[in-house]
Amino acid sequence: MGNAIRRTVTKPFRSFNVENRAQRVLSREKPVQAPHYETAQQDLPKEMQEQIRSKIVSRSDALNERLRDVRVVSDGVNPEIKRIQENLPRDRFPSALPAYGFVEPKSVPKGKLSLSQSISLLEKHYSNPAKYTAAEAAKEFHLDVRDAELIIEYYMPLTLMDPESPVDMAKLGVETRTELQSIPEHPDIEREEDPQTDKKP
Amino acid sequence: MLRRVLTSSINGIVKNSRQFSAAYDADPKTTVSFLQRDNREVLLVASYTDYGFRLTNDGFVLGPIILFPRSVLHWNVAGVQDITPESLILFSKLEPKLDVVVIGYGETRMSNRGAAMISPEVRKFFIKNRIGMEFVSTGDAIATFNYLNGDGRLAGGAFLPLSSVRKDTEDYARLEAKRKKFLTD
Repeated sequence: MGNAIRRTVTKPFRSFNVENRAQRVLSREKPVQAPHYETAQQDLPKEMQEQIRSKIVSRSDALNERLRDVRVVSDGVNPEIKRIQENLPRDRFPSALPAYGFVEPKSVPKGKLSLSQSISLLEKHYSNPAKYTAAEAAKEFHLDVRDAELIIEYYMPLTLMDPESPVDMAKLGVETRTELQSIPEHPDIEREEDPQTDKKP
Repeated sequence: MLRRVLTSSINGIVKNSRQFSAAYDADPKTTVSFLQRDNREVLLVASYTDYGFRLTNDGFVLGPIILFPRSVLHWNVAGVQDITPESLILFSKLEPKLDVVVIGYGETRMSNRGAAMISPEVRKFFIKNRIGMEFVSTGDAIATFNYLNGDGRLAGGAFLPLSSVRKDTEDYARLEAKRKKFLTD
């Protein structure tokens, strides 16, 4: 506020005859050089200053010659330059992925499933098929009953097999193929390449 | 029973990139990076047989599988005839929507028999749900899925094991060498 008042009060004095003064400065042939700082003027006498100025402007052949003769030779092993900036992260590996490899949505629209929901649906059903039916699942996850039935019919959570115990292949949905069994097997490798006993030594 | 690990699946888990150095007359440098080694956090398929799939977490899954970036499900289908909109229902119900679904219909990449096997209903199903879909042989499907998954795409995979595996003398020789190594170690 005080500044605003000072500005308005002093403005007529500052702008007095301003155009004439500006014209006077502009009409000069060469602008007057601002004086050196006092300390700079004290360092060197005026004649010396002029000498130096003329030397700077003129071209020196001797100096040019010396510049041409300069050769830089480096011996030995160059030191390794390490740049460590403490404030920046040093570990540039991406952070760990979310549980399912992508960010799961917070809310799922009705009639849809997130991957974790579909896996929990299947796990609930296959741990207790009689109790947790498709209708139950449809009710819990807001699904169409038909969709829930299909999901239960065609998908199964991963079941762990004991390599020692016999496996019913038909139960797993793997077709038994007779043409494979008719292929003559190599007697030595037959036992070892059984997928059930495939283990690292 | 004989399990043959197909060497061609290595195409799916190895990425080869050539880097030429700045100097014109220097030898080109070839670097190899393994998808399997660089992407330890996602699930890729290491090999496939007529029985199932070996995943990069060293587990062997029997039968047809459904793969997601970090999860596996069994797929209860008997063969190509069962690849229907009903058996693929899960892909249309998932939230968030998948970017792409890769279906491997079995067979080796050598045979072209399965090229036209996709049913129009399946194609319509994916168009209706606006999900990208690839319908290729299992070998190609696995390679595609591994690349997509290693790249951080939200990809789903549905793979049938091979219906048959060609065995040749080279395989027997390889297995023999493996057996010898087992015995000596």
